[in-house]
Amino acid sequence: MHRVITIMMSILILSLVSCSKKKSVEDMLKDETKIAENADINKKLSELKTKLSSAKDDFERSEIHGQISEIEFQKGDIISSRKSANEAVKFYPQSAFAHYALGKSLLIESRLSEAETELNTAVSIDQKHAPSWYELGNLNYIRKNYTNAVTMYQRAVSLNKNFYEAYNNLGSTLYVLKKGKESEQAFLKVQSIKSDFAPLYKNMGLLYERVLNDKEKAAASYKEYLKRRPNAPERAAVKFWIKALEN
Amino acid sequence: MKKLITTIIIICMFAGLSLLSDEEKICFAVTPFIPLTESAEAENAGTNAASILENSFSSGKWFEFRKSGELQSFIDDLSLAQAGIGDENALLAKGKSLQIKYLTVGSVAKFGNHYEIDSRSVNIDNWGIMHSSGCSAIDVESACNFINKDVEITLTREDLEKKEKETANLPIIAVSRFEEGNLKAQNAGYGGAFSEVLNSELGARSKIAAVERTHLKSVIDAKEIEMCGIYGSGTDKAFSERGIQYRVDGEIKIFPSSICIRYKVNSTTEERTIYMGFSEIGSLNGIRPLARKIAQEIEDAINNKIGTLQIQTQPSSADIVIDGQPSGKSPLLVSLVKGEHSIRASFQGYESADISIVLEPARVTEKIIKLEKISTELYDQAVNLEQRKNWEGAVAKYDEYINRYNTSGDVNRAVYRKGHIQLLYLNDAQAALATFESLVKRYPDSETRAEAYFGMARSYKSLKDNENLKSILEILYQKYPNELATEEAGYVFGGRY
Repeated sequence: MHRVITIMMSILILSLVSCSKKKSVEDMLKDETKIAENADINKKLSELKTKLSSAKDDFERSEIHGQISEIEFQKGDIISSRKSANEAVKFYPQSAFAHYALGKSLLIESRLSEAETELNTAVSIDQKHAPSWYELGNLNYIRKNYTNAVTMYQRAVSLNKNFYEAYNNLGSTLYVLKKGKESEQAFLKVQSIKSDFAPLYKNMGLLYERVLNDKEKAAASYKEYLKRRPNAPERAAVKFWIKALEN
Repeated sequence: MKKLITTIIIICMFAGLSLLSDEEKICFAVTPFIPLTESAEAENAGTNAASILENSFSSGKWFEFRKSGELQSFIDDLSLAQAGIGDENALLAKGKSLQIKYLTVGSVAKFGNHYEIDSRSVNIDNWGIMHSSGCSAIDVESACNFINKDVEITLTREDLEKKEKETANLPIIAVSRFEEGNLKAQNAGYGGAFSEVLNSELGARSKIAAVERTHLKSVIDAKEIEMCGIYGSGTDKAFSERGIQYRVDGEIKIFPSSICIRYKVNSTTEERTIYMGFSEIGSLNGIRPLARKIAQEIEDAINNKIGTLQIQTQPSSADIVIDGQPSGKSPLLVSLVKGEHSIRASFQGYESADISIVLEPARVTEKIIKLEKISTELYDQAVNLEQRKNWEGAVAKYDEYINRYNTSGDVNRAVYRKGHIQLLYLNDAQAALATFESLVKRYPDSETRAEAYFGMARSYKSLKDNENLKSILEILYQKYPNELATEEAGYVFGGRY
């Protein structure tokens, strides 16, 4: 009898435990958002926002807003980044960085004319600001002004010889213009600066396959891409490309 | 005799019933799920998941189930389509010939000991998602058991019929790609998994019609060069051609204790972004709840936050600027967030018109703008004064013209002439500089912009400001290398900087 009661109690307790309310989807999301709030990157943002209240002048306010904009952009929060950059420009319109930060946010939002105005202002204030030239290159690429894009990217890399993103985009634009050898040079430059940059190898694969007609190098490049990015979203497609080249 | 008649009646009833149920049966098939990560592929998780679901589906009472073994050629073609290779129309035709009405497709991603499995049943005629289910779990079997239970409860004939009927008139949307925006994200490989999870969540919404991504892989995974900082350009047209009105894409970035996801909705017909959002979670556990929230948000944005504006002008082909952003030429059909918007219509030879409109969500608001022709009388008078060397009079008349028609792009020539007179005939370099600067600022796309920079250079030269002269010449040579004004600057200032 005692044993029977024990077993029945155990069953009752177990069923209560299993029937206890599971977290709702909304609650799970709230928990996750809370974890993210305490991430280092967000703590840094909070510190900067606190620093704003004790900024001694407009120049410092502009600098802090610029730093906030940059972190928000890094995270991908483009609308917040644009708003912060606007504040940076407002407090110190002579800041090339502020105009650049605003310009690149506008570019992501596809507000091309406004982006162009801001980026042009940035380079007119500081012609040596390589990131502004790079974004102007991107703007021209989006507008399909490929020759202009090449000029802008070349300007960016002449000012910063380790600017691998600009070299990648330069190589990619030269690929679109079917300037095979020049494109290859740009991509090899990326490889010398940042050999673990996975998209480089996909781009080289496309160049060798479609412009330089070197199937062997193309297949090797695609394999290198998958080696560096085994979980690439288009991995199944790339495997087929390799197979087609090797057959 | 009575027994014989009764037996015959009973036999006829059974025959009738079975005929009836044969007619009502809908044909389903399950195809191998796509392994999204290397580790999922290594353990054949995609095939295993599909196999578990196939066994459960085959015991379905209201639909006819075609085993994958009967469809091998179709499945092979589907694999090619899912890899972005092969003809999707040929695939569609093959599916129809097999008399399959619904196909269950899906994906498996494995991150460490964590699986994300999604299953979607799609109408093979239009690849619309009719049912979706997904699960995060520690093994494939648990996830598939959850999906099976969900299917048993929520995938009924009535649900399917209701969904088919409702989606016929809903806005059509599809998920494109979520790029992995930093090295951590690329190494983790969350982009593909998130795209699939969002695909499932959008498929479960009742006020938008989601199209299966598998159908669009030839576009999504097209053999395209990868640019830094530029994503998704050029795919709107391909989506629009397939009847998809909205395209969702975005970017994932990973930081310690933070996964940041930026997402945007593009109108594929207008090839522009109509909605943008950002969210952040602490870990992979939040992926599915976040995708549900984003799907809700997108559904709400399309149905309740966004309206359509139709603009016509007289004359047509006017440049339309909405909220300060160039938006194309009239006639124009554009999606905008509900509420107040400013519109400017400009056409050469006509005064620009500035109006304000209030847009209601989920409705088309029509506006016809009539432009007034610019009278050239004042400009002709200014030119006349210039020809008679009455410089002050000409500047005053150009000013009158500029002030009268200041919003029109045609005014740029008057501004240029004014600056030219101030510099060369009135010897007022300071005033000329201000005039040329205003030309560059106010009319950024004007035909006289290179001339304006040349004018600024000459003004700086007169003012003996060599530093600014050098800066302006650099801009002129960089941005307008092929203009006559640039060539002239080369002669005047002795070569390129």
